Amino acid sequence: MRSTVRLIAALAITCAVSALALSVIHGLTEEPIEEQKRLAVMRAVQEVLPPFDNDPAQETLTIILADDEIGARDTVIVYLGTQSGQISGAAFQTYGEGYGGFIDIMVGIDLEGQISGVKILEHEETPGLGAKIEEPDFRGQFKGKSLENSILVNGNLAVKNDGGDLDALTGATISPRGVAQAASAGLKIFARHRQEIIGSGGADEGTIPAEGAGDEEIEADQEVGESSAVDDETKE
Amino acid sequence: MSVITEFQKGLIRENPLFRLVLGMCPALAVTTMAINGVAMGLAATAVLVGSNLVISLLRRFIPEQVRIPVFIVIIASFVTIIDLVMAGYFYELHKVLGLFIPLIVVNCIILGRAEAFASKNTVILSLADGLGMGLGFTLALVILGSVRELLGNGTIFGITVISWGFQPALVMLLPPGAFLALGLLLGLMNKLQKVEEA
Amino acid sequence: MGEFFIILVSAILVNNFVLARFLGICPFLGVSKKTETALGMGMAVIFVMTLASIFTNLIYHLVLVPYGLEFLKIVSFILIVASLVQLVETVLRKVSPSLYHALGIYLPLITTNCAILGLALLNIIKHYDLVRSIVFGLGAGIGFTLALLIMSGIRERLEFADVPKPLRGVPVALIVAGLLSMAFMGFSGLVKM
Repeated sequence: MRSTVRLIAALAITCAVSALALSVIHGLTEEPIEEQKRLAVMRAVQEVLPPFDNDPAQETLTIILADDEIGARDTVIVYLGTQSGQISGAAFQTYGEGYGGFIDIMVGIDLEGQISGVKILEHEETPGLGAKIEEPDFRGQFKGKSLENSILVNGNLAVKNDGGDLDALTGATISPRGVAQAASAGLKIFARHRQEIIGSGGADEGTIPAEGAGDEEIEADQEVGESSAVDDETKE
Repeated sequence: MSVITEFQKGLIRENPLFRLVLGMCPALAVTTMAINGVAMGLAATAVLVGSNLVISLLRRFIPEQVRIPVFIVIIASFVTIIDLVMAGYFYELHKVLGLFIPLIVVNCIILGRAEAFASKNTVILSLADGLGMGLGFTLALVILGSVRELLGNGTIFGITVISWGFQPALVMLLPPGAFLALGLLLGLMNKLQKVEEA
Repeated sequence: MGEFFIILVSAILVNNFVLARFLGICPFLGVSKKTETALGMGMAVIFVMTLASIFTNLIYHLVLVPYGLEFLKIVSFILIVASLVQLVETVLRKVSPSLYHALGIYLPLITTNCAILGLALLNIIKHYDLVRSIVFGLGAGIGFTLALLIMSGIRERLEFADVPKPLRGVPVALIVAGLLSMAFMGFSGLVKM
């Protein structure tokens, strides 16, 4: 009987000491871990924004997506870049469907509604093949693209194989497709929430022409149907 | 039984991966690049040294019947510590190694050394054993990782070694290549051992 | 319902735990020499994996998360797995002593089978709820058993082949595993994710 107690005691003490030690380490590392995650996000933000001179971490905006908006979380944190106090661009996270899973990207968009940069945050694509979406050569082609100046397929940016104008990767089409999806989602969300993001009063500068239905007057709480950005240009 | 002998054996003669054939799961999974092999190897070494140390210190107090669960809790604690520390200070490596950091806890090398050595030997010797086995494991991972990276990408540790006219065998970076590389390396080690014994 | 099917197929074929995720290699190589032991081990693993999915999921969501103790998941999960394996051992010794003896040392080694702990952790990473975890655990176990059975079938025949000496045993088994892994890669694209 006494030996069983001893056995249980030994195990219990070990667990208790372990839990205690881990609580201490957890307490010590909690902050650094959060900091690292923040840094990773900010690094991506800084890479994709158009030229800015503020600290985007200090200028953020939360927008809530409508039910029919896809490609991002329901609440999106938008990081704003400003130059001399004027907003120059916005960066936020979107995702698309890749080969091995979702592809999370950080997309930066300037005032003209053009992409200023794309950074891959998370992906599960095949190393050496789809994973090459991380390379600057591939990502760079997204710069300057908008819903107006690109060939859209079903209202989205697309790779050449699908009738669009983006280069895919040798031996991998699905991964680039996912990135195109995510980038398109970014452009659409920006277009629909432009008013909220840019913040300036008055009608649009007219740089985002009303596509299709034409009611691009975005009010924060008006859910417009997904009629925006469905202006199919040519489909080859 | 000297400290030096105990340390040395883990490096080559009783190399955990190549000779004792332990720790294959992380070996196959993370060695797509040599640098990942280093990271995993050092993380595992840290856990191994820590757990060997503690288990050896407590060896007279741990009752035999519950020794395995107690070892497991101690090892799991060290793995958690390494996991948290890496997430806080080595973020990129932590992301690359991913799932396999927590899986160090079921790396048979660690439980194996705890059972076979640390629970029966002094602290100094156990430290030497842990360090030797851990570094031997790291060495093996680096070799495996280098082979796969070289053949699959033309680089070692990120430095392009072969480029002219060389078409990388992408399969080496994928699961089949891992199995093939390790199988052939083990065969090579066997052959070398026979030659050495002759 | 369709989603469960996808999770199942994905775990068994597309992302096979052994051949694609590198989980469970030690028992995979250790027990795949004979088909009967392979089958027995596979059954035991399916059982442990499904139960492990349930218990780790429950403990994580009912105890660890509400109290902010997620950092204890490694310690608690491995203890849960160890206890489950102990349970299986005890049950098996009563129910089927022959299988118990055939599996020998490999039974307690299921605890250190990284596939089980890997499964528990993946359930958390993928944010699977209880039902999806069970389906995933089932699929993982079946996939493991499938790989094990194919391997044992091949290795039984390999006994009669003339393998070069340095490659005999584990090396040739790994090479075979590499070929199997290549074959299973053909399943990618079968289901999305």
